[in-house]
Amino acid sequence: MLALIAVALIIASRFFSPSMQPVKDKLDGFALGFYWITDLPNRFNNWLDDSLVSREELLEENRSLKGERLILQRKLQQYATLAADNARLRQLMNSAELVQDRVLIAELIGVSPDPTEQVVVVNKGSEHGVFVGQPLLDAYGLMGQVIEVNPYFSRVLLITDASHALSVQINRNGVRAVAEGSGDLYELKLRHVSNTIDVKVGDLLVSSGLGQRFPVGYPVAEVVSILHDPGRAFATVIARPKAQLNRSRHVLLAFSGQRNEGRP
Amino acid sequence: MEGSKVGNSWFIGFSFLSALVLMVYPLPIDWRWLRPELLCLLAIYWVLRFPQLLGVGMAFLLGLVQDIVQGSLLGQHALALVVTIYITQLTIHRLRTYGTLQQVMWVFLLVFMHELFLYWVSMLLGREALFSYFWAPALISALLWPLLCHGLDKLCWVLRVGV
Repeated sequence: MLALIAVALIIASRFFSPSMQPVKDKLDGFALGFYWITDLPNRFNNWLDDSLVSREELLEENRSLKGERLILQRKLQQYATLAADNARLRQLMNSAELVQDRVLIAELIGVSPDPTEQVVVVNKGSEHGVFVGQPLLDAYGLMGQVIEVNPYFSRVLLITDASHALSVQINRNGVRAVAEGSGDLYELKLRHVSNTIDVKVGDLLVSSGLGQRFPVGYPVAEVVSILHDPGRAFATVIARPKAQLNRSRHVLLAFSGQRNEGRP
Repeated sequence: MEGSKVGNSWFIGFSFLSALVLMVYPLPIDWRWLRPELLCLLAIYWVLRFPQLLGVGMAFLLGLVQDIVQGSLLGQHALALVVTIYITQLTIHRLRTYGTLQQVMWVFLLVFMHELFLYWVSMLLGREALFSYFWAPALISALLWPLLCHGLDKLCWVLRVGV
């Protein structure tokens, strides 16, 4: 009897989810407590790292950070002129201006326990302006997109989830393709790449912005293997995500102008 | 063992809460599939101990709470747990007379069934589940069963639960 109710609930929550949203929001507030508790050891660890450091280590870190900053500043000088150049050229070509993305820094507080889906939980929600479909990045590349927003946390589908796909282009020559997740954390597959297309091992794939969901030009993956099988219509191209999907804790939520509602 | 006091329910509740916390404790994303089904184990244990106090209704509520906390489809864990606890209740007399090794094997089957229902729902949603997702948690849970039983028996004795 209760099993029947459970089945009915499954069906209801799958197909009538919009009408159940207010109830779900309330219940999710309760779930947040659990993620807060499981995040405690992590935070304690961070606190220890912050407070129990010797002077030498701090000095050493300070020195290396200063060096890094100098290098980055030099790159930034070049970047300023490049950006100006780019804007001028775009004006000449009458194309849309590149919008600077605003970002929100968030922290990973949980990982979905279900191994069939690759979903992580971040500690920013609708109270901070997060919306469904918002792209998530780490320091190395694109990580995924927000699929569920609660007031104080949100769930993010990673790009390697088996149900996820995004449009990319090869950075070297601009060839477009669709990269879909395989359910494996270290693998993306390119869909429908014909055997004659110019793609090499080591090519960087960047987001192309088609599909209006991800901003243009963020690194997504690097091609690691190409298999031309004469028996098949398309080449098998495997790429490895640039983002460190299994270890990044500090992540960025990007605001890129327009908002898109609804699931992919 | 048959008698029970209402004052003990806090202990049972607390054990369920801590199991829930452990169920969502972030494991490395590659090793998630090895997580033992602690909540399911605990439910089986308490049903064996207090069969007249806890039953399928409790399993249903517990499953719902787990669904909410884990963010899975509402009803997924409830269905799996209800079926598991129902079968536990059917075989309760046999399970109690079993030796440790037989209990471990029986628990393996129970948790395996739990996983079967869990991933059956996931697969209906179009997700891909490997065979290792079924047997690995079941095996680890079954191996944990004697430890859990022993530990909780001791704790119950110390805290005078249910005597």
